[in-house]
Amino acid sequence: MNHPFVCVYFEDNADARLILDMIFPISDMRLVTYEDSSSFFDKIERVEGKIVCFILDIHIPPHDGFEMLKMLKKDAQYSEIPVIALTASVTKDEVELLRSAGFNGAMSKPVDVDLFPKVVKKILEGQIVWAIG
Amino acid sequence: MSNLTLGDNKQDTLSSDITNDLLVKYDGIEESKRILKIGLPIIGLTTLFIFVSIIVTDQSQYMIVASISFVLLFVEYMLATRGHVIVASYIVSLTPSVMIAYSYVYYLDFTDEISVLYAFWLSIFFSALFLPGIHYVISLVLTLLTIAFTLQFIEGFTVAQYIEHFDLLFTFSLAVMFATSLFFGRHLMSKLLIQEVEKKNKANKILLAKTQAMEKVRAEAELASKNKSIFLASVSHELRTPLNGIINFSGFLKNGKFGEVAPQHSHMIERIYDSGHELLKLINNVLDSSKIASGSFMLFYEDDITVEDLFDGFDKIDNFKILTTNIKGQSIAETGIDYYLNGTGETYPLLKLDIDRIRQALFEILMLCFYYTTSGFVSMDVTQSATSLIINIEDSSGSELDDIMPDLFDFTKLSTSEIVFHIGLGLSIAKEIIDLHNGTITYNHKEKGNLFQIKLPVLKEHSA
Repeated sequence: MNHPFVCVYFEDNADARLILDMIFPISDMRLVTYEDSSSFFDKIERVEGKIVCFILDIHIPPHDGFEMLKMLKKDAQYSEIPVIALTASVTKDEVELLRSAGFNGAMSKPVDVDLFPKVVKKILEGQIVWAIG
Repeated sequence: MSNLTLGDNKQDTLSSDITNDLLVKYDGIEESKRILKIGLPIIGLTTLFIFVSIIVTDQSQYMIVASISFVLLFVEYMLATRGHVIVASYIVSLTPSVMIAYSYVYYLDFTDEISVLYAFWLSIFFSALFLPGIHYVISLVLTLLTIAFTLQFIEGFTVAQYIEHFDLLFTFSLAVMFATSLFFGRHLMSKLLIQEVEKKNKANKILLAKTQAMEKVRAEAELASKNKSIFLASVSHELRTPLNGIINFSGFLKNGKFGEVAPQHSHMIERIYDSGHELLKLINNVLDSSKIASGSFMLFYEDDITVEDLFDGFDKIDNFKILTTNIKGQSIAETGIDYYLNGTGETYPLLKLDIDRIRQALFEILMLCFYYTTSGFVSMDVTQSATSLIINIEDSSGSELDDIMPDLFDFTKLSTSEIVFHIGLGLSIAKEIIDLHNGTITYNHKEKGNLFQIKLPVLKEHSA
């Protein structure tokens, strides 16, 4: 496989999944998408390759972005992997919630396709990036 | 709904706190009311005792003195219980002088004069003692003056003579008088206290009612504002979700991700892409304007910004044509308007400002100029003064904005016939951004067009 590293994207909106599919692969990362967050850990464990980042939609059933983040950060296997919020909720209060929840970064929808790969790379380097615009 | 309930509870707690703060609580008030209630019977009984003593001991000459005393006490009581506490207290303080004058006029026995004088002297001293503040001082001075005046007419008055003429009945009567006046003073004080407390509580109840009404209005306004915020957040979210598809799918097509697009399709795809961005900008402006309205519009200052950073991308019209094109649905290239950026090549000190917001403000003003200009040019000239960065934005529109200038930067006052909504909205945000940087924006109509001058005191070496 050309892209040994994987970004896992949970997103219930088909358009948004398609857009990220178009952006990836980024460097040696490919994208795996899921349209809901049921059987969350089963889905993650099914992924082939090394997971290097999670991209989470916030308003997604049954576990929303905040719940998924909590589950990941509690699990020793995944707690060190960066988690990026990708959301259309960008008011001050909503962004504040994302910050305090402990995401490693966030990007707003509509996705800026030129900026997106740069932000993901920065976050993978350990930076915290808030690309809300 | 849980939020609403929480809000109501909070309001209740607040109201009860206000109640506790405002209503005066005086522990002795019940006791005072009780004293008032039994005050008249006790005064009556005391006076009756004096009458009986006089009759039993057959000293009828004191009957008139006792009668006057009774009448005066009664008048004082009636006055005091009807709210004229201060007046009543002054009558008490003047009573001994009246008594002495009476004694003198009717040539009572010298001993009697001395005794009556002494009794009332003491009684006034103690009753006056209970008057509040300045009234006590005035009443005491008045009393002493009148007594001193009256004593001049009593011949041969000495303390030694008084001791010589010691009289058991009078000493006893004196003690009763003393007790009565002490009681009466206490009674007056109680009455006064109750009146003050009740007056204060009445005023405070009105205040409380007003405060509660205001609190209710405030809570309602807060709820309305909260609902508005929730509404705006929802609208923003619901618009951004489809825009994600509109902007990015048209973007992929436009950039040839799926192969070359036929020229007649290419224009339409670009229009979809540009319009998507215009809508996104509008949503952001509506959110910004809501932040301005609620006072939560914040700047994020950055140090060491260069003029090159600030104007990066402003040199080419293509870099922001997406938005300007959408105002008229026609690209600026098609209208043939020239655009110049001058003066950024000079040497400037470093700047301290919110670079994204200042760029946003400049953008909005350029938008206005492009909106009004149909041919000719739009230009942006950058210079500096001792403390400020000065940006002149000029056009050749020939339009006069003088009429609407006072309201130009307050979109709530602009009607849609004067200016399109999104430009008006953008200008009011631009003004806010410049104001928050302590800058100014002025407008001048020139012969050939409009001139906006922006002064920003952001040159770093001067602003430290």
